[in-house]
Amino acid sequence: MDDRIWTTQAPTPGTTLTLRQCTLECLPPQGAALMSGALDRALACLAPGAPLLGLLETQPATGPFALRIARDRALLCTAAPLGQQGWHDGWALSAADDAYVALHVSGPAAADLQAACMAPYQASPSAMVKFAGQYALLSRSATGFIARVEAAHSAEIVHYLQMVADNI
Amino acid sequence: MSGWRHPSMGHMIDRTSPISFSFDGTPLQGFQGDSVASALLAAGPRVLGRSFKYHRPRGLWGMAGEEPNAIFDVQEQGLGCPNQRATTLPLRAGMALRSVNTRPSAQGDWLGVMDWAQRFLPAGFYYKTFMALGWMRWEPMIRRMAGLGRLDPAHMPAATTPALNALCDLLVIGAGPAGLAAAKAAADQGRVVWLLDEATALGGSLRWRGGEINGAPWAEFANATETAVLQAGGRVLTDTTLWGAFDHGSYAAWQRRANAPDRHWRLRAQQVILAAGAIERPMWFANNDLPGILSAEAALHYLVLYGAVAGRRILLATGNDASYPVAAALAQAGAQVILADTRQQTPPAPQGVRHMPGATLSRAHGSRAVGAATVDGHYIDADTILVSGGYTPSVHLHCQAGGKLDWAPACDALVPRPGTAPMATVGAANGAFGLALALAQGHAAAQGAGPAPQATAPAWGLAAIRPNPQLRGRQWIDPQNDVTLKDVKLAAQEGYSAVEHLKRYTTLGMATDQGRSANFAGLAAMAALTGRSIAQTGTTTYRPPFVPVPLGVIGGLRRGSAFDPPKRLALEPQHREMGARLREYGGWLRPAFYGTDEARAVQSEALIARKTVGLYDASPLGKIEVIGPNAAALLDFCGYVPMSSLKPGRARYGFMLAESGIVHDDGVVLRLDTDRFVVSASSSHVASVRMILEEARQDRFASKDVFVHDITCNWCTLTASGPAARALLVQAGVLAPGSAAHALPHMGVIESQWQGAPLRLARVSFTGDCAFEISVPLRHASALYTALDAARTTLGGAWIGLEAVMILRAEKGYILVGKDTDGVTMPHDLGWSGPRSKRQDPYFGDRALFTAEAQRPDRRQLVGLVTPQHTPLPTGAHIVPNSGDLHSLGFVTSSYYSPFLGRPIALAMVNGGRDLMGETVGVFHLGERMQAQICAPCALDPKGERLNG
Repeated sequence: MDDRIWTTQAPTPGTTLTLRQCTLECLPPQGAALMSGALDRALACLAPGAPLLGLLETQPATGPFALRIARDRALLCTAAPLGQQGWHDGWALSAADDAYVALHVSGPAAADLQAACMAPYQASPSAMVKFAGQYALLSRSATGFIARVEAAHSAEIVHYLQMVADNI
Repeated sequence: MSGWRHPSMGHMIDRTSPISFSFDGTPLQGFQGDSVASALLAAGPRVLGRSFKYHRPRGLWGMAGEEPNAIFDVQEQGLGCPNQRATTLPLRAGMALRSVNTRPSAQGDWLGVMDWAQRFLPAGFYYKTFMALGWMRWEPMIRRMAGLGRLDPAHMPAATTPALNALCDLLVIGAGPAGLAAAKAAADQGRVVWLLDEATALGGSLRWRGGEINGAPWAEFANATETAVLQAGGRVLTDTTLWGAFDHGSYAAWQRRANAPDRHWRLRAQQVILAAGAIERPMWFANNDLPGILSAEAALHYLVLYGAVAGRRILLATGNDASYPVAAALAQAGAQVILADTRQQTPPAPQGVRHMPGATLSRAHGSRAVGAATVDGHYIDADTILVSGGYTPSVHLHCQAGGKLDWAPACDALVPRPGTAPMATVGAANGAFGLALALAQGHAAAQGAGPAPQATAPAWGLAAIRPNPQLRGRQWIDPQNDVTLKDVKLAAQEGYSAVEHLKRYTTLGMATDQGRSANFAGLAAMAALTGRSIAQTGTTTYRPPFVPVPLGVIGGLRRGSAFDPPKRLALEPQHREMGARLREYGGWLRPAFYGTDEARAVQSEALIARKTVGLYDASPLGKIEVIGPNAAALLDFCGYVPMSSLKPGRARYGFMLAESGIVHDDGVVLRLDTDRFVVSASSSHVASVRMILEEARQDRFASKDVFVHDITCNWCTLTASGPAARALLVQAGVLAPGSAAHALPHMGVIESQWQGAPLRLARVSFTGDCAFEISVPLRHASALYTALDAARTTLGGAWIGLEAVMILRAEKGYILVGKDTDGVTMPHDLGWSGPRSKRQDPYFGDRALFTAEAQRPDRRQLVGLVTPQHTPLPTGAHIVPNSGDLHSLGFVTSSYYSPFLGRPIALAMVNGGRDLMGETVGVFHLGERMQAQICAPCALDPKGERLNG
């Protein structure tokens, strides 16, 4: 196989792609951190009042929020990178500001794209799901959904979403 | 040429829109709305294909997925798709149909001579004959002759089928009367219903048989059902075949769309109702495979929907009431119809039909198509024979889901045993051969409120019809795979009386129609031959797919670049701009070398890196943070080399073993703080290393005191290696002269800032030279690249690809796990025996290191090789004795030409290799025995002086 078949580029942060009946926006990078352990204590310390969201729950328009990954793990999303990496009293924090790329899909075909990329939606306390073949954290926006995918997979997933939109 | 188009019948076709197509090169015409089968039937050609084994001429039989004969390779708009069924394929302008298994055409297939040799080719012929003569000799020829359809890579269909997932309250499979009743009952109660049917419209057999429901035309009920389903949030999918029932309530459906790509649905439902109808059985008489012999139900289907009339002089042989409306409709359409019923007690004869009660069809006459028939010894002139041997409920999906069957004598069929599959089966699929009963069953299965929809049509009367072993001539049981009644008898004689053995011995039911029209006859014949009942004889196992599904549909969009795509570097655009040739390494697309001439580029890059400085992108190296008071203990347990003694700000090389003691991964662990480590796993092992750590964390440790975070994707890591590495970093502003970072010792690590960004600097080396790994968050990758590249230019350094890195590490004897190790390599095989002999604490894989096998002195061990040749030894070549007999002592694992040393270098795993230092061995490859001398793995700077620049 010619290795140069993988020519699609990772999306540039802030750009918007117009797909068939929907748009795909690559949100600009903000702050994010993986936190594990006593999530309530971590949130109280880092982002008091921030909600802990499960699968496809609506993320707030402004302000920090956390996407639960597992019982004792979540991705805290903030406006800017946090410090405080390492071990704290019962919880651990690692900077993951650029580990995930947030892809915002909105428009009439957003639901079809979602159906093409993940198992049928059923409420789950974990926001992590297999999305387009890779693990991703999914939340809902006012106009569609946001998939946070590992940065190294973003080119592939955007390409896949484009293919789905073209053929849906 | 017996089929013809009725001047007014056929509400599916648009006579104002003629469509041209071709069959085996012959131009033909149909109409918009035709199926390929209806267009061919009306256009007249009868021989549409050839049978699999004897190449006998075959024509259209059915009207849906049960069709065994009319299968074509289809080309349209430059794309080709093999083995398409004429019955389920809509006619489109410009279609070029080519018959399968024919040379050169269905009409003039020269392999038809096989039929002359039929008496020498009974069932089991291949197994007996070709084994005795040596199967390998015959196999290529047999394979060339066998197989249906041709794959044509030049006209490969595009990968355009998206796979969609859906969940609903009720999934109704089949939109005939029972399915409609079920869907409406559920939708009326507000349940989300998905109603699927493989036909182009709702209604099932109502579409050609007609009928009234609740005193109104059936179509009103169908429309009301569709409206109710849609209003309740459900979906109605026509042209959609539910082709597989899988574990855990998962179903797959293939939706065919006009002027749009197909869709592949993965469905789950709270409740499933199967209303897939029934398939008409053939009848068994001599020459019952001739073109011009059709299912009676199919003939009515083509007449009513498409105005395609099967023939002009039609003999309809039946044993049930359902054929009477067929005879009436054909007579009304203008055909001469003779109705031969095996029963003495029959309904009244339809007007204009010659009726023969108590008559049995025993033979069809004709060479390439039907010309006449023998009924009760009377020769009857007929260009078409329609048959109805009863109905077989379509229970495939019930059985795929694990359901069992029971024999129901009243309907002469096997029907689903309730409660054995996670679905309810209703209507004809459940043996309910009558409109009123089908409606009632559908309504009840969906827990419908109020009375079921009403209909007045009576249930059918039918007589059991079976193959008759006393009849002379060949009676075809499986037309697609050329299985006759005689073959079934032969199987029984030879002891293959179990249905699964019968299937494999004769190939009965193994064709692409999955034996829909064949299996019942096969097992009925076997039951009769062995004196068992049909229930005792049983059925073969039903497996997906229900109908052949194009692989393009199952594969979906995952083809080409979307098939197993690698991870991508943040700096890929910059690498491409510099002329990098990218390859996949450990699941990442990484620069292999820069330029166009690989051999020259790789050598040049490796030399520059040794002489000045080489820069490479090491971002894929794992960055797994292990954090917490128990972090050191977790790493000690999971690693072969203990890490608890490592001081903060230092790094240490180590291994991670599998439980079997095999080297699973190697890499450097950085200790950033007393309770914070970074495990730098090799790029292809990040996920598995993380999994081992996570499993041990959860199983063995107080899991609240240690956590594992994989943040590989957060960081861009660029490595500067070579004598000028430190100078490069100073020039790029990464190192300030006199700073702590500038004085960083080998295996030192420091966290600091660069241009306001977090920066991690680790002085670790995979090349043996002074090297720095510089890591910044991805958003700063471009800035770091720019700064380093500018400094590189002034120092005469180079960007180097992974191929050059491979040379540099092999010169030092540094291994690559998976390349220089295999599935039996333990750490002491690589010369790392310290922890094994000294550690007293338990660690992952420890016990396996002390088995008798692990302690064998002649285990394969890592060594280097020196060859007198100027060219590198072939990687993978066997190490053999220098002379004498050839037996493998090991193999070459890595081999390169070292531009810095000016000679080839190689690493190898050799039995007891460390005891063979200085000895000459043979290196055997492709019949040639070369010589090499065993040496230490490290070919360059064994004292490690270059590490300090």
